[in-house]
Amino acid sequence: MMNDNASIIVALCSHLCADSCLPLEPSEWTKLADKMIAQELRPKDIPELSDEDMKQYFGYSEEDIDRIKRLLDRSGSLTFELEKLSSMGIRIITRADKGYPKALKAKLKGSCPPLFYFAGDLSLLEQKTVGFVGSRTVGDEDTVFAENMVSKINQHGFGVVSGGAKGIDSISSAASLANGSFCIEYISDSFIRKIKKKEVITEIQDGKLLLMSMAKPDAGFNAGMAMQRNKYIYAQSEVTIVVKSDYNKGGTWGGATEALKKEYCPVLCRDHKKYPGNMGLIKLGAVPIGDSWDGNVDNISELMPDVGEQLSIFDE
Amino acid sequence: MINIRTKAEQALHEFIGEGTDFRPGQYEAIEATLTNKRTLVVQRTGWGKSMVYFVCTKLLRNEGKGITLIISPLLALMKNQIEAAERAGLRCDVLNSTKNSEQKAEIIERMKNGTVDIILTTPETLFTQLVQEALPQINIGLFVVDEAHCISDWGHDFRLEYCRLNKVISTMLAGVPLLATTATANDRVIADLKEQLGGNVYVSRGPLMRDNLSIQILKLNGKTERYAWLCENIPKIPGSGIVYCLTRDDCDEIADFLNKNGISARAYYSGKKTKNSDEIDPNEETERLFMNNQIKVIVATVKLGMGYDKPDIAFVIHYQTPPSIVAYYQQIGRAGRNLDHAYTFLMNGKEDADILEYFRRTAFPSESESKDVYNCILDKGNASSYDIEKRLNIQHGRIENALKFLVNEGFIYKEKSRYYPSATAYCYNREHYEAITKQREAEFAQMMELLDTDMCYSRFVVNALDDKTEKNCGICANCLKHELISSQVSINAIEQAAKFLDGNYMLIEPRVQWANTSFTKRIKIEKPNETGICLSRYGHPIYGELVKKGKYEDNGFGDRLVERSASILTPYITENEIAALTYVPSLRSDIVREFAKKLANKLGIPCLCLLKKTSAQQQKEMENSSFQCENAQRSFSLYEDAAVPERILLVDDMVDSGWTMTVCGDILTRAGAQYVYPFALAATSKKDS
Repeated sequence: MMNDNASIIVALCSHLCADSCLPLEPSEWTKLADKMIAQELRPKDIPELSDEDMKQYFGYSEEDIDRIKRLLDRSGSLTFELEKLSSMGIRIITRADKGYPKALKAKLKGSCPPLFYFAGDLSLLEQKTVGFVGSRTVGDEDTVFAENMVSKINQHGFGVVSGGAKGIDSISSAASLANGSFCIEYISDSFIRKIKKKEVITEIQDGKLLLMSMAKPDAGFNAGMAMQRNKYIYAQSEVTIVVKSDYNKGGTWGGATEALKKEYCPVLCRDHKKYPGNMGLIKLGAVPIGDSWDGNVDNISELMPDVGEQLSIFDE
Repeated sequence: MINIRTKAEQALHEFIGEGTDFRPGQYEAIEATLTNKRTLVVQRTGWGKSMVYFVCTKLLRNEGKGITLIISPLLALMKNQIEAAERAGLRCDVLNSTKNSEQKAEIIERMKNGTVDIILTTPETLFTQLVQEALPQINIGLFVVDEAHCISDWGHDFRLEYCRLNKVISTMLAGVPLLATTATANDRVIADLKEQLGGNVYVSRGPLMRDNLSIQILKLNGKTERYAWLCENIPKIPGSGIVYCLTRDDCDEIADFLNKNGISARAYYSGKKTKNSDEIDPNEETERLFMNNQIKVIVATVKLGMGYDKPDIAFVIHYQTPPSIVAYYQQIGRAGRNLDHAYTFLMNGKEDADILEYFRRTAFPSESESKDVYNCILDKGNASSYDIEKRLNIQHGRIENALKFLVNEGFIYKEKSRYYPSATAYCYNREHYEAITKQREAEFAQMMELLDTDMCYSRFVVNALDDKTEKNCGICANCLKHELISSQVSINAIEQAAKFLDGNYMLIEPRVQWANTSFTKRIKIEKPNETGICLSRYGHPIYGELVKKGKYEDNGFGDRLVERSASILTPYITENEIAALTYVPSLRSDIVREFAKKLANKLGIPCLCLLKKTSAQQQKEMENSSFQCENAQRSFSLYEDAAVPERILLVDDMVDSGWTMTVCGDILTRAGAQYVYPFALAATSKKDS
């Protein structure tokens, strides 16, 4: 049974059963959570609040209050959806639960999502990982590079975090699993479809694969959602490797530049003169690596050109 | 709190009039439901559970909350309940299989837009795609689970929908008031339910004794005696009633017997089939006839249980012993809801312990069945039950049971007709299942103690349900110190019963569809067999016993069986202009051929040798349709020079799955037979669990 605080977060923020109401977006939830903290309230107290309380504590309008009530009113029907997901082995974890990814909370603070749908062993989140990102369309050479890098970091005891999409994402995941290591995928769509694949199920059952999705499990592809989840990969991993990026466009570029700016984690980038995107990222501060990199993430500072500036990340 | 009480009392007055008060415990349960959110009510029938959810609904609706969803096996609210609800301005409706799709759509629309206040639905309907798809748009203000003991692992029932309901309840988000009610739960079931409902549960518990039900134990063990008692005594009891049996075969046979003795009766069990899909469900028809008092008796398995609420059931007779006091209390509780007095009689057949042992043993799939079925799904990525049946030599029912179990345990889930492995890793929790089986054994032992107790029977029963009353009922056979109806049966009745049991034979309904095998797909059989005849139930008195003896002791079927068969078949042969008979050959024994020859001789028709057996796999080792059909298809062929007549009788000793008869019939048909009439000496039993 879900704890009372988690129940309320799910009722307010889940996009399931949301035909006739608008769930709180992560930023809206964060705002509300901050105000609750100020009032020493917990999520489970919300249903007990009067309209006046909500106006006073949260600065809500009549419309806002109505929205909150409608969201809470769907708890019953939402339960049935959650049971359906749970029968597939898809569960839900909220910021009020212990197993919620700590790295995300620490690095993303208010912008980490109120809840994730997940399948697999959450304790993988406690282990050290390297993120792998790159375009959906890749050549043989990129594949070889990615697989090579995955093997190296695996040898140092790191698992892979990826976005579970086509291209670099799935190549890296598959390589890590093939090496007997593990993989966390922050996916942004098609959870239910993915979980029907035999290989996926087997790896999850073996405790090697953890799927995390902020998007509701039956959601199809959505560019905005795909963009949003990039930061989870950077935040979850010790370092993230960009294998191939377009220049100044596309998800990989967007995610990497954001990570560099917000310093989610050190960004490593394949040093490839023919890839303008890669070169652009290196120019912006990504650490260039080549085939010869030894995969020792702990010594990454040695690679950094501007040591003083980059170190600040670790000093935080 | 005062606020709730005042509002609740006002609501009560709207339901049942000014000046009325809550019955003991009712208000407390209402308050708990509205504040505590998780409430379990364990109260006997008639205590007024419905008033608890009516009042809660009224108050919640006044506050603008969503509708009340009652999950109950009941198909309808009682008329007086609906009237009370309507007086208070609550709009009630039922959503279940009795509604057609147009009505269902209309009700669902009202649920969505909130123009109904209370919906009564069955777990089966709740989990249909139609309802599941609508649920996201329905605002549920109160969730009521009736007969909540069914959602406990330790309850006496094992129905998939209740298991799923159990999962929904454990997933239930805080903030949805949840009220679970039952009349049947002992301490263990209550403890389990409290856990399912989650942490802080308010339990309302009252006395369970029903002071208008008198219990008598009938020490009659033989089949003939019990039949005799039934036909002698049922007519003496005014009103209508239920005879409970453990197996479907017993239901059919007893219903037939009662009808032949002038007592209108119908059998009722799960899996009662209609020939065409557009025919009315025979069980629904039976319920309707019984409700309108157009038949006196329903002969039912446990299938007729909680979902049936007829207020004037005058008697409940157990032809066989139920598996536990919980089940027994539940079943006798059907009687006398609206009567001053009702009678219950408990018999105990010598076969009961074996049947119940079989039920317990097969309640959970074995470790290997479970694993094989699971692996079959995992290997293929997904599978239908037919795929599995084709791959695994496991009985259809056992596969279905394993699938149900795996779904319930969360290892697989079903979409359309296919099963998928869930992300939850498979394990077989043997200790847990063994503990449940052990518990069931202990519960049966307790049931057997009831048979011999000299204590007040009602008190024994409610004490067993952990209502520790020291009060006696004063109306059972033990309290009265005399029988309510004599357990002695007259010679006349015994003769009547014996005559029926001797003369009764069964029909063999032909299979009309092939199984999925290397030779056939699941398509229609072009020219199925005709409806055939089966002389007896294997091992049952009298001819079934003779068949068993002939097969395993005498290595031959004696003259009594030949004569009996001939006497049943003579009119059938004439009527159908059957010209000859042939038999199902065997490589192991000649007893069928020898019997067929003697039978042909007696009937005055030729015995033809048309079929030959080519393979030696024993059909009885084949566990499901695919394997049985395939084995039969591999086993039999036609002699090359065989001349097959147009109308032929096909003789075998035993009929079980019917595949041997089907395949042999098909071979004969292809060789020129127009009509094949099967005949078997005995049928093996089908059980109902």
